[in-house]
Amino acid sequence: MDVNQIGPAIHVDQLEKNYLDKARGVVRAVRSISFDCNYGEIVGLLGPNGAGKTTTLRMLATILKPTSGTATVAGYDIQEQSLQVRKKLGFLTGSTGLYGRLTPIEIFRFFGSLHRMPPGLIEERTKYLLRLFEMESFQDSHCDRLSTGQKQRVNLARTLLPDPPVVILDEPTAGLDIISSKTILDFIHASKTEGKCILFSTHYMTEAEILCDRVAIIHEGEILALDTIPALQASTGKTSLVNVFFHLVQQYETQHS
Amino acid sequence: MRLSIVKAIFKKEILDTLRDRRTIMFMIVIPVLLYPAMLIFINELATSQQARMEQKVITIALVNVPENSALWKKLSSTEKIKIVQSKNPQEDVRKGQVDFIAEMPVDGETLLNGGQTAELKLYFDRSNEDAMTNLERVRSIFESYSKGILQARLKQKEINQQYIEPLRVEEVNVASKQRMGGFLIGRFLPMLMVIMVLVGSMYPAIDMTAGEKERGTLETILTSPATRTEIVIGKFVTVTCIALLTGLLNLGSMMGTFAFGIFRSVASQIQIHIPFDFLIVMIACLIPLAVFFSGMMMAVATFARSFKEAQNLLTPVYLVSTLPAMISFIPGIQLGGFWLTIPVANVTLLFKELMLGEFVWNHLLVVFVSVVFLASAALFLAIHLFGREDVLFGEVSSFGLSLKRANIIPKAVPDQPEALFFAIISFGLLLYVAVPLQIRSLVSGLVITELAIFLLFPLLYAAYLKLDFIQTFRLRSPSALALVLTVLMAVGFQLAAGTILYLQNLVFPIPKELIDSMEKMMKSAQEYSFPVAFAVIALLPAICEEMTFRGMILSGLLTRSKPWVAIIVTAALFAAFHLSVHRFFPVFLIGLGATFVVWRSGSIFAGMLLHLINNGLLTFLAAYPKYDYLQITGMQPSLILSGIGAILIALSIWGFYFKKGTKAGT
Repeated sequence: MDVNQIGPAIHVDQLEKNYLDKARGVVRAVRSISFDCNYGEIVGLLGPNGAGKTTTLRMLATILKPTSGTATVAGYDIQEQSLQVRKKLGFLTGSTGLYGRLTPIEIFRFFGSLHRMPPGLIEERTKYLLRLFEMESFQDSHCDRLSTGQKQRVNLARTLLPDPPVVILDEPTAGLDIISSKTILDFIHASKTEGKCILFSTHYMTEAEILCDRVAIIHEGEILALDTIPALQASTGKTSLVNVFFHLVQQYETQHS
Repeated sequence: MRLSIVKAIFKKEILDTLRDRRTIMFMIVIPVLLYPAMLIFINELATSQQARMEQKVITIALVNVPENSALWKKLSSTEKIKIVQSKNPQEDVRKGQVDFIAEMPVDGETLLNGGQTAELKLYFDRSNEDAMTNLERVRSIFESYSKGILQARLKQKEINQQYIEPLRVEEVNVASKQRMGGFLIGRFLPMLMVIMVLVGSMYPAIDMTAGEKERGTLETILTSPATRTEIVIGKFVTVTCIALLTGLLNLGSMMGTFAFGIFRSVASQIQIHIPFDFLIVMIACLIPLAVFFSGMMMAVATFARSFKEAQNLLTPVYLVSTLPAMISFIPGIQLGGFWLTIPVANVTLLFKELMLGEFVWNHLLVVFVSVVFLASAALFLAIHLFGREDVLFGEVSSFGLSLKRANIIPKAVPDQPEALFFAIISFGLLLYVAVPLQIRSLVSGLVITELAIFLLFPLLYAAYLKLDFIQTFRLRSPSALALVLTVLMAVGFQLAAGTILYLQNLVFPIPKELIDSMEKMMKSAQEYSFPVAFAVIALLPAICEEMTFRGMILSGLLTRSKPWVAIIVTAALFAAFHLSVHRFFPVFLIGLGATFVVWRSGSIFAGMLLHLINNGLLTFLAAYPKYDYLQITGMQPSLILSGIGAILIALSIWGFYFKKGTKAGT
């Protein structure tokens, strides 16, 4: 990987995001959060809907501008060097769609050319990923005609085409069957051994327990805790991650009422 | 902006669009098949209908016309006319059982024989289609009968036929076949082409903005290493190409249809032929129009969250845009004056003019400039909207919300997009408000332009955005040294003016009309006392225009561009606002000087001083031509004076860079 591996893969420093809403006025979606993720590490973001997970990840992907605070991805500032950030970052969310009238191969070619990859390299990576995710059988069908699981595999392959050192996945397994989920979870694990940094958000506590080196519990735009699972279990005195989560949320609610 | 990225996006969008059935319908199927099919169908239908009509037997009931009288014989011997008996003729006509009733007066025969007029009443039902289509035929029978009697009468009195026809009018059509064709086709083809370009831009524009939002692919492409400008430009070029292609396919299809279809019967009288060079001009005008429509459609569609919502938003836009295109249908409206400035209508009328074989350079230029202006404004807006996350991800309402003054956060200076947006609106005001005012009344128009557009508008804009007036407009007192250096530069420019004008004349020779109109302007300036002329031509522009260009625009540009880029762009805008190709170069140079001194000194008053010296001297020379030591109108540059001027300018620049104490105190 051609990246400066000194320093964290993702560094978030007091990142904050406010929205203007007609009914509620200013909404503080993300409240001054800070954390680091390292290469060769899998970090999970756990939290209910509306906790600020997607907003945080979108800011790191440079789609949204933070109201205040800074962050770097692969050493590049998300505001000042957003183009470099997007070059080094693979970003996949449940809402990132595929072009329905294009085939997987055409989509890979398109995103490869946006990354200014040489045509030969695009072909090589495409071939590799088609085999890796078993997509050869539908490589020339329009994406409209693919199943949800097939689409998510294409989408993941699209994310990985330029071999990014940092990968952000926003609920990558939501709505998938067991087999498709397993492909994605297998990939996440394999990427860790390749030295990539994986930051992913999920609803499923079991996924987090199996995969994550560290987890961040996020609630109402704030990180309540960030540590390894055993450490979290020790500090809260709970055994399962679900109970750890409820314990932390309850603690937060009593502090703020 | 990297061209390879734009190209990649363009390639993908074209592929994606060409696989979209909706676009293909509007772009290819409708123009290529439906038009000719429809026109031929209507043509065939009309022809067969006519044939059917002519074969139909018309029934006519006669009242007070004796059997075997001359009229009865004439009617009964005419083909496809059947005389019927009717007991209650009027009732039968109403019921449609009889087509016509011809009622002669009771004493009809006597009147006719006695050389008098008999009034024949022809009853028919105007809502009866058979009767209406055959009215002419029936009438001509009676007319021919009347003519026969007339001739008999004339013969009896031995009067020559020519005696009762002192004057005969013969109409001769002098229009060439080409002009006839242009006239007929010029009524609806321009409108059709404009509307087809509009329709052609609508679906791809929606599909590439709101459609992408709906399908979630927008977020995908935004996380790729392409900038938002590259994405918008790539999409934009695609929409424009498809809109253009739709327009051109329509043109081709219509031409083909006319050549072989509907005008076959009159083909001997008209000829649809547009000269090749005119065709090129039409396509050249169609390009900015397509750009304008595409930008407008994309900008509006970006607000929508779904394809359906975008259609709802764009329908009013579509209707409002087609209205001015209808103008070519209204007879008697020609391109000129007021119509030149109305978007869409001006292009339609220009096409009409071209199809009639007329070509007016001025019209073409004005229409082209106004369309290019609107096109760039639309493009800019689309790019700007694509950079706004509330438009891309949020509710539609929050865009308006963020424009609400209460939600605007105060800041020192405008950012670059805000300054460029300001420049675009100002230019629009200048083009569509100030120019008409100045045409009506030059002096009061100029005063209003300066005060309202160049002074009041930037102040209001700054107040709305809650900007810091001191910093935005650089309202700081300049240092004494800066003022000296500014005067040095101003004098330098005056001395070099002869050479500048000489160079200008080499590249863009100043046409005689412009010199005439300038002389006229100078004369009208001389009508006013020198102080009044000085105030209008020198003092007001020096104050007001500086606020706009060296205040709002320069401050905004400097936030994101390198200083030399900001200075060149500011000077170029300054020159463009003078709306004259021939004055562009000299005004651009003065603009460079003024922008430079304001940037280096940090004070707008330095720019005002330079501007005032320049315009003031010009006014002075106009008022007192005998002091025209530079011989500005004589076009003979003095190399010595120009050399001294250049040295003074260089000295001033050197001073601003290397002398301490040129910066205004804060």
